[in-house]
Amino acid sequence: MIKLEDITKIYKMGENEVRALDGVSLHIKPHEFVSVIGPSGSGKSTLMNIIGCLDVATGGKYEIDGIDASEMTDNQLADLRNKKIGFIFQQYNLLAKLSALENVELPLIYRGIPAAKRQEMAMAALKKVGLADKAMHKPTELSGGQQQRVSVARALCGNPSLILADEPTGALDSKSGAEIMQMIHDLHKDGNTIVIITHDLNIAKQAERIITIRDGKITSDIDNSEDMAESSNVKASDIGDNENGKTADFDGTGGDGI
Amino acid sequence: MNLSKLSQSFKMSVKSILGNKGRSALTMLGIIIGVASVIILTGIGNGATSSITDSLSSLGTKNITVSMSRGGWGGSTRTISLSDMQKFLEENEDLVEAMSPAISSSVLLKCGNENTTSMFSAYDASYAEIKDTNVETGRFISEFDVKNRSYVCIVGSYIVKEYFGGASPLGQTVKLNGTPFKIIGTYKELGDSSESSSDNAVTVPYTTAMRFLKNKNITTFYFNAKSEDVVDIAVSEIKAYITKKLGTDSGFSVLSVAEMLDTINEIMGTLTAMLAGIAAISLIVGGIGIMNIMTVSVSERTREIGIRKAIGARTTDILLQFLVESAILSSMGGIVGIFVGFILGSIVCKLINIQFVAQFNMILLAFGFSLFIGVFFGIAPAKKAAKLHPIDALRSE
Ligand SMILES: Nc1ncnc2c1ncn2[C@@H]1O[C@H](COP(=O)(O)OP(=O)(O)O)[C@@H](O)[C@H]1O
Ligand SMILES: [Mg+2]
Repeated sequence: MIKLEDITKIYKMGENEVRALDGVSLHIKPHEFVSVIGPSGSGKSTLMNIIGCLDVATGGKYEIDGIDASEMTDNQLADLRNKKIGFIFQQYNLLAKLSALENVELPLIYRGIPAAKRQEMAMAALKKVGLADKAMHKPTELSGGQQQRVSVARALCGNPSLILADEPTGALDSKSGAEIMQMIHDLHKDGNTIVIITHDLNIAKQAERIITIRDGKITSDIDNSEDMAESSNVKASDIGDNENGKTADFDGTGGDGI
Repeated sequence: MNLSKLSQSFKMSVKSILGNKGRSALTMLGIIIGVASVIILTGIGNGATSSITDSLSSLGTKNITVSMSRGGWGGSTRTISLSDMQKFLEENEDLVEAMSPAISSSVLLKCGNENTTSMFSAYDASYAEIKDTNVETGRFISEFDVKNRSYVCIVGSYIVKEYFGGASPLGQTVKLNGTPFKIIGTYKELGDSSESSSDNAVTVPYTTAMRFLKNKNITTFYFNAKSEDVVDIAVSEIKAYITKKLGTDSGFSVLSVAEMLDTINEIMGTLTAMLAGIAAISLIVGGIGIMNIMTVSVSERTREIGIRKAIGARTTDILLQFLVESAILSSMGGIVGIFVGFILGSIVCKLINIQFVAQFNMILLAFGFSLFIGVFFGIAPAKKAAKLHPIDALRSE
């Protein structure tokens, strides 16, 4: 479903060059649940933005569902984001002036779904995340956890095949974070492909596959599915580059969102 | 781009406009002022024009006035005689149908022990065919009066009010410069019946006046053209006739109300267009205001645009949203401006005592222009918003 080949992303800051992604190759198959873990500034968000067609790579080739992203027009990319991808951001990215329901409806509006059908779908999505009673509330009238649930509803209501979550629990307390993770697990069970970005090992361990990224390069790519079946006993030492014997501890670095 | 998307953009725009009432009102202000001033200025311009043309038309659009200017710089002392003018009338029945000499002066009017200086005029009986005599009670001068040089007069409402206490003065006598005249008619009130108004007036037969004022020369003649179509020809024929008689084309003037109307309409039309042009400039300034605020709005809402793009808004969706927003703002400004213009224009016109003439097509034009301005000046910021790269927009704070 997703195929990155030797992707680089270079930011030019005057004289300086920042290689946010430095030769990343990655295949993600349908229905996979992948976590991407790495310290702050390692290029996780950049990777997600390229996978989500929000940004274009400087070099390399990116194919989504067999189509080369660089050959798509802006409108095709917009339609692809609209139909195939559901985004969950660390900062929720809800529109402050719209109610929860209207926020969830938004992708359906751009899809051209008639109002009645749209509201029905959005309402169903809100019900799924347990916020049916808060449909008319503005984001500012909701807690952080509730706002993130609205954004999960927005991501899932259009039935995308790929859910991209960039540190979805980064701004939440552990209880709300756990709720959101549960919803992401549910989405996976429903057959979605999930890519979740995190710097929290405990969250990364919940995925079937853990990809570690550091300084724009993939340093490890482990299959976690068997370990998960054995109640997840992956050790921190299994993940990341352990050349110097240090354990990968990405906690406490703080998420930087996008 | 289908209709449902347009109606969606419309709803979203309304939401965003209402969500930012202060800014929206400020944005509209420029357009409101622009449209209101177009409506006010053209309304006043048209009102002034119609008030002038109305009062001119009431003088009679078939009317032609011949005036001899006496003396002056090397001016000839020769004037055209009444019999020459009568001869012209007889010879040009296809052009003119009535002629009356006119004498105007002032006279000491005495009634009982009181006296006043009144406007004095003298005409032929045919004057009634040329102009509205404005006689209210009694009658105007008759041919008999003219022939017999009768000492009869028509008096204005000031005299009726002041010397007869409003009672009918018909059959009573007033003294003009010491000579008694019998009152045969009264004029309608034309001004406010005060001593200084045109209601302090008295009219007698011109034959009586010539004898009584010892005036041999008549300097003013009124003609009535056969129809409005021949006014211009009649004017030039009269000019040619007098020129031939006097041997010079100076020392007299031949004017028609129609001609004056044309001139005034032309001047007022230019004036109104100029006023509207000035007002239109303020509309353009209003449009630039919209552009400014929309530009600010775009940069304020960059993140919103990013979010919308991330979840699938196309470039055209964003473009449409911002365009529709500025179009709504400017057309709402246009509607408010029309109302404000109507109210203020009517007040101003009431104050300066003319009628507020609002033309429907002017209103449509003002509204259409403001809508156009909104769309036109909305294009640049809307394009800017639409072109934003989703990730750049999303990253902005
Ligand atoms: N728009 C940008 N301009 C310049 N540098 C950027 C930009 N976005 C990200 N970077 C740099 O690219 C690197 C990777 O950033 P990012 O992908 O946001 O890291 P992460 O999400 O893993 O914390 C960082 O060094 C960051 O400073
Ligand atoms: Mg990040």
